[in-house]
Amino acid sequence: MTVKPSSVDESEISGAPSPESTPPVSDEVLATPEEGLEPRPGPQKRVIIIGGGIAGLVAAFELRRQGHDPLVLEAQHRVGGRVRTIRDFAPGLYAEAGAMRIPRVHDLTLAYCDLFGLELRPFVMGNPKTLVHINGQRMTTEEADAHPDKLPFDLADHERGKTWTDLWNEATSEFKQRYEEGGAGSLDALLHEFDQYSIREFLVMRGFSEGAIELYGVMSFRESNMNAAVVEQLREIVGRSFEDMQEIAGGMDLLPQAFYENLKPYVRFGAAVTTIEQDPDSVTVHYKGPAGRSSVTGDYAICAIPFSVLRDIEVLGTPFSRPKQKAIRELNYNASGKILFQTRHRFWEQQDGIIGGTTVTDLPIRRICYPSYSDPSDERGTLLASYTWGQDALRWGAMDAEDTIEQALEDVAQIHPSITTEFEVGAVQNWYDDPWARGAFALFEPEQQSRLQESIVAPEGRIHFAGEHTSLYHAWIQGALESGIRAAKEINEARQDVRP
Amino acid sequence: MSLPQDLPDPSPQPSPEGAPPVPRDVLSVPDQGLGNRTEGRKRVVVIGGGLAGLVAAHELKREGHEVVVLEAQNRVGGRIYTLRSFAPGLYAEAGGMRIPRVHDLTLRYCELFNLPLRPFLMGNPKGLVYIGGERMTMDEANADPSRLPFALEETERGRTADQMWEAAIGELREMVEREGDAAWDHIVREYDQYSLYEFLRMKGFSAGAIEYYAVMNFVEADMHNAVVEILREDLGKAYVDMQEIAGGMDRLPNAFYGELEREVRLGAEVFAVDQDTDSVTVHYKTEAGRFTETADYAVMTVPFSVLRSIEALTPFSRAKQRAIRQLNYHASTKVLFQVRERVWETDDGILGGATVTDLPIRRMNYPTPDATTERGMLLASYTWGQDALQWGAMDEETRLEEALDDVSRVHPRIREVYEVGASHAWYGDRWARGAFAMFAPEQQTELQADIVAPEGRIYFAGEHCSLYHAWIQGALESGIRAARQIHELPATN
Repeated sequence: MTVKPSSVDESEISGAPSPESTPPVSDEVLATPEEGLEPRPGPQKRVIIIGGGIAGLVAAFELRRQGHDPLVLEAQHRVGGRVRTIRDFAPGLYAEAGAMRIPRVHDLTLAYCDLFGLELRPFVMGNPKTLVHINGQRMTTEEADAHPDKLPFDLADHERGKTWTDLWNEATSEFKQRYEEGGAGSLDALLHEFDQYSIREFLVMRGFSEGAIELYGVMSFRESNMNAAVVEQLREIVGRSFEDMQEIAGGMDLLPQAFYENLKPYVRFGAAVTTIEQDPDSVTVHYKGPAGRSSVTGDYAICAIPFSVLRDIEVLGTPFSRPKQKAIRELNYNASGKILFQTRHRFWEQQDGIIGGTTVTDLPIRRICYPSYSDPSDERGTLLASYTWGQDALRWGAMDAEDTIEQALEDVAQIHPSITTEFEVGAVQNWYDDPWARGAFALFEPEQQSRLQESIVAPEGRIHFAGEHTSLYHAWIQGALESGIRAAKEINEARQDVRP
Repeated sequence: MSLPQDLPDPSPQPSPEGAPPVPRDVLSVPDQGLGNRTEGRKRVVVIGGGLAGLVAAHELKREGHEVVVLEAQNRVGGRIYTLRSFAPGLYAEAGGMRIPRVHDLTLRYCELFNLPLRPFLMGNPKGLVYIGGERMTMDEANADPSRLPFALEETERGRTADQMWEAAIGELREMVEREGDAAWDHIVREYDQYSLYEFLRMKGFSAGAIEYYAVMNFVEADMHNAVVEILREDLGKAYVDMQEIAGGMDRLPNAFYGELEREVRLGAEVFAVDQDTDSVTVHYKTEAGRFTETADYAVMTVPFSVLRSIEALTPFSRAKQRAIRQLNYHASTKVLFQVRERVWETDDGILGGATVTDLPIRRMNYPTPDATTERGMLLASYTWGQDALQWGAMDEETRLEEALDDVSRVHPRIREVYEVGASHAWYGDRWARGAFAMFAPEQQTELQADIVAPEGRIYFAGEHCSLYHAWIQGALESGIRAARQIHELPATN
């Protein structure tokens, strides 16, 4: 059985949880970028928004458009949260330490890019010329797909000759078929049925040999995430994303910056929230900044920070409900690490003809992503020299930046020896070590969706919740936007005369 | 976890006393050595100066072999790490802090080096439970579990988490008592595929009971690790009569070091290993440059998480590589406070033991009372898994501040008596990269043989190469095993 080489990367590079298959964003939400929230008569509401990531920004933006009075408290000196473009390179060069691509099906995200006039261009996923470097053997993705037996995995007889995508497609065909037959309405029940299984358990159930599980783990970059809930994976299958990925020309941070341009007076930087206090009529948020402690009071608050960070914020007055507290404690956060290199030339283009796409390896760096855009005006480039998840990322996180770059250079040199002379400077981002992120993104463990999701999203009195972790688009900008709009809408529509 | 009135175990980390006990010929090693052989003197380079590396070097040297220990840090002991930057005479354990009485091999080495032991108090009915903002003693919580805010089913009400757990594993406990070690093959075969969470679900625990069990046993962030790790320790009856080394746990590695001063090279970071049919070459760097050490054999004792970035110039087998990549490492973080008055003693009469809470600190451990000083060291927070990673994301100043916030809710006078603090996040420690190995479901079945197997002239040791994950005993047992494997090989030509 053969598979078109170009199809290989499409379903997995993104292997981060990517629930495009969640029921698509409703028309009403989708209309928000253009039309705003539905106007409601009534007094202006003062809304304190904790966190100036995309979720907090979009909530502030939409509330502002309805004439409300938002205030965004952001602990750092920048907006954007886990959308973070590093610009500490040669003039004009930049690289993404966080989110780096937008699936075409993420209509809501694209609508905001459109609203702000941001230019999009393709983010290359599948590229047959990229490399597979496993157990010291180097081949192109095309070769690996054409001759799966060249890869050193100990497969069972019935698995030989198949690529890992063949195997994954077979394993999920029943799910896909049941979804196609049942339609969108069947998705909840289907996901519920599979929610108890980890990826590993799912593969074992589907008859994968230990060698095939290893093949899948290595090639999909998920070897460290095999105990995460398989529903995170299944959601993306039905969503058919990754068919047409985009990036924002000039850097992903242009999106949070565009929001910021519209919100300048409503953002307070360097404001680290320590305590949230609510009574039946108001919410007071205490924060500390370089100049001391302060507090602000509003009618409502939106908590748009990760639960891992919220865990350390004290709640006074009415405490959060027990189910919310449990969700905050238990929701699993995955780690992610990125190592970025600036090089004198984009030698991978010149030497290997690789423009965009990803190389997979069993070396600690796990994968290299090449820039999709081959800038004719600059010979230099920035290479995503390593992108890791889970335990792989934590292991990198234990090293300081200097050692990280040195070790990554050694790994890349095994695949691209030219790196040694081409390398200029490097940068490192470990999301679990970032005090304002404390994890890269929410990633359900088995049964967390069934047991926690409702409590994750539910408001607590006058406090509403947003962020990718409160959506089913974990790890995606779309999740931040969708949940931010949801929280803004909840508040916009709340009746001031009714105590929550 | 024996008596209902006991504190929940402050250490349900993997601790396989239920694993086959250390064999007699290993247990006799501290006293009698590896046993005389006449195969000749071998040169052995030991990578890593933690307990596994030290014991391997010590036993090989005793038999007349030539050893060199390469240690990257400026201290020996690895994850036994006693912090001493406190008021004169005070110290606190950032790593290994207690020895179960059943860890006979560990106790033998303490005896060999004349290290005084004293009890490490586990269960203390006066220890506190602070959950959902309510504060009570462990005694009270156990007498009336309904005071705790967990949503239990009718049939679960009135029972403590420990009682429910005991009921769930009662049958297995009987089996181990009846069949001894033979029971373990069965247990691993039957249960290795399950996470702790799945096991509890299978045993009929409601969501509320799972939460109750998890919070009280500090494992809420560990629910998806393999249940066999937990079964091993509970069925092995550990935690009955825990000991600590008076004066600090680092006295054990330091005692080994006393015998090996000339053999240990500190500040030596290994970055590559190579081997051919006759020898092993280890490449290392110091601040002064790059060096190599060639020997007949090597003992590799660094955690797999660290080994992952040491280059094997002659590649390890595929199976070993897979084990190195996949073996799951657990996180752990400790936050330690020096106080000028032990307010938990003066205000609450708590002499040792632990407090459990759903606050981010999760648990406090109180020190053994010391009549010679009013000051004391509080283990203000001891966390695992995701809890520990979240503490790890903060800088030390923030960690101390956040821990003070939490502790002050349980012990309001803490801010008055607090003097200085320290902390250690083991996943952020580049020479540890994780606190200890902890199997994910099926890893014991799929990986254990490959974890332990030698690769040519390279032998492997460390807690991760034993079934005593996280324990000193695992480091010692595996270190002796590796030393013996090398000692008993025919002489090299």
